[in-house]
Amino acid sequence: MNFLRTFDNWANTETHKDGSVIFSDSEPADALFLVLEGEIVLTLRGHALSNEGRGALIGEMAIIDDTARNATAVASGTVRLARISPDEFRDLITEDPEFSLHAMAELARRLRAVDALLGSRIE
Amino acid sequence: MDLLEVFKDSQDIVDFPAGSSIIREGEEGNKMFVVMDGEVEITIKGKRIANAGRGEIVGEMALISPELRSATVTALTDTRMAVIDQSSFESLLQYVPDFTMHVMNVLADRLKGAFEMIGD
Repeated sequence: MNFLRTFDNWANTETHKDGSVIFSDSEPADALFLVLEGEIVLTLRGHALSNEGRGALIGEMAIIDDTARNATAVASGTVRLARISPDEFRDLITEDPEFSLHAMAELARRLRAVDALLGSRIE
Repeated sequence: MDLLEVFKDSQDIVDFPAGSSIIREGEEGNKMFVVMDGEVEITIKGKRIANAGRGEIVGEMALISPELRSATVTALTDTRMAVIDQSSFESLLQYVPDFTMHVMNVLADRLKGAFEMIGD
């Protein structure tokens, strides 16, 4: 994951302690986050969705204008994140094909996880 | 991004009559499609999750991550599709950032729809 080097000197990083909420369901989705260190637990209306580690991209609803969070992200242990604004995200997509492919794969992975949860509720 | 314009001269066009299956959940797949004309329905385990019409894409998941088809796509009307295979997809991602952003917006919209269905 060479693109992670882009984030070594990322201006906008934040550290969260174990148990702290990074974002919550129904808040405005104003940024994406790339996990630099540590682990995050994503839940969807009380259902466990996934655990996300280094390199994971979360908060993807922010790429749609005026959208609310649909999931809740909580730090499991100390985590360090790069905060990426929607504009910065679009710039990265344009400038860094490796990041671009990674971001798309991350979105597909999340969609498969949510579809699997949805499928299990249809059964 | 107007995919109808991008693919209007595509040589790889397939017609599906109303009612026919275009993609089946659980199968292997290595193509995605742009709806050039008509309308299709996307279902998971028989439950409708979305429709797609002119200029919209279906089947992109199998090209992004090498797993089985996550949903079934059925033609609701006679439908004309432009086919995008793995190598065309990779070229588009490499050389057309707008296409990449477009696909990501589609995925984000689908995610939003799936989240909302789970919330109901």
